[in-house]
Amino acid sequence: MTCDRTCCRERLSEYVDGELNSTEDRDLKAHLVHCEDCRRELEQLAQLSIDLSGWEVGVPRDRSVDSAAREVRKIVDSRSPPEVWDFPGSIASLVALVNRFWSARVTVPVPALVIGISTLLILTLHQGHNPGRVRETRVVHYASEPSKPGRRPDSFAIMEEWPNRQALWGAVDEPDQTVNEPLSEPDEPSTASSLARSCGKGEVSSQTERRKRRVVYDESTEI
Amino acid sequence: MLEYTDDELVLEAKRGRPDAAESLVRRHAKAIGSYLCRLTGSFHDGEDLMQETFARFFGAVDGYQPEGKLRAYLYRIASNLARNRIKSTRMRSDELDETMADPGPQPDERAETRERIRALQRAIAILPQDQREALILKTYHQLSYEEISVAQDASVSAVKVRVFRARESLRQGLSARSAEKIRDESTEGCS
Repeated sequence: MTCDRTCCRERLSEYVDGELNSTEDRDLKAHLVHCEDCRRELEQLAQLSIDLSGWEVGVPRDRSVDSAAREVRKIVDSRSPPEVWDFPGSIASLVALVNRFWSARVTVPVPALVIGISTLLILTLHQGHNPGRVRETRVVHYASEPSKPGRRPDSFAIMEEWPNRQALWGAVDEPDQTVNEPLSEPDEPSTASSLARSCGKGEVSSQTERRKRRVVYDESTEI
Repeated sequence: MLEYTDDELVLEAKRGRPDAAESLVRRHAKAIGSYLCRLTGSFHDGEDLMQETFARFFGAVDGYQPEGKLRAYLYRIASNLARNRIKSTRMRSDELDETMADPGPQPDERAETRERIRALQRAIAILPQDQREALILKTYHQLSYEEISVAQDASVSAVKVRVFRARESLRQGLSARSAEKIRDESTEGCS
């Protein structure tokens, strides 16, 4: 190459990569008009790019990607912070709430305020220390008692028919992992996955989940 | 549909959401895998190291600062893993894995083109590691010089030089091979 611009070849490489700014690009194009060596150089670089594009490799298979996804799920799951009840946080929130009322000079009768705060505190303590207690109690009750006169006769039979009954026992045996959700929402979609997690099996069918919901729901409506 | 950026997904993963981590894997797995295939010269090593790349990243995700450079960061981990693997297996240019090639049928592909690509692969395999990485990242993964500089922990000007030198070496290697071929053909014609 007889071009007197020493950095010209590097510029051509950058040009092929689309890394020149507008001024550099314009200068190089102007140079190429009257420099045959650089034009030839550019043609060779273009040919090399064509050759390189012919080198194809297989992309990772789907099962390999799935495996990587499972692996990272495990890693992220293992480092998830446990959902514990934040007692100091709740107290601080309560104090802040009272303070806000106080500073806003809202006239609330003192007995009503005391009762309200006490109720809130008791409820918070209760929920914080007994996550999932409501559901657990009902499920155990139904699972351990035979049907009685006056109740729906098939309620215990439904329990017997469950294909994944063991999964439910697993859920009962592990109350710490049971998600505390209101029982009055039988069609809530997130429950299937939460039960699957709590069972540790990952394969609890949504049908089983619906049946469980139905039983529990029947129990609550019957009363 | 709203698509989360890489950094948003990383932040969600840091908060303990495995779905976000999985989305990131599915977004980048194939690119990282094919990069590793080219770098190691083995399809199976590429798949294996791809999984390890993500495991390493999420194992130390707290150290990642969200600056919009996740892709470069992943390629950096992948490059380091590939270097270690290459060192351990002592890969040489004549040990290219046949399974690395795209398995799709290519009945009308000309033998000459195949041979040229094979020569190119050999030439790439004997490039210095940093030049090979820079060239592959630029040519096949369209990373900018700046992203490559992050992936290689080097300056942008160093990356420019690496890509340029890699191209020069390949061009010279292919030219020498062409000259050799012409000489062989002329010798055969004489005899």
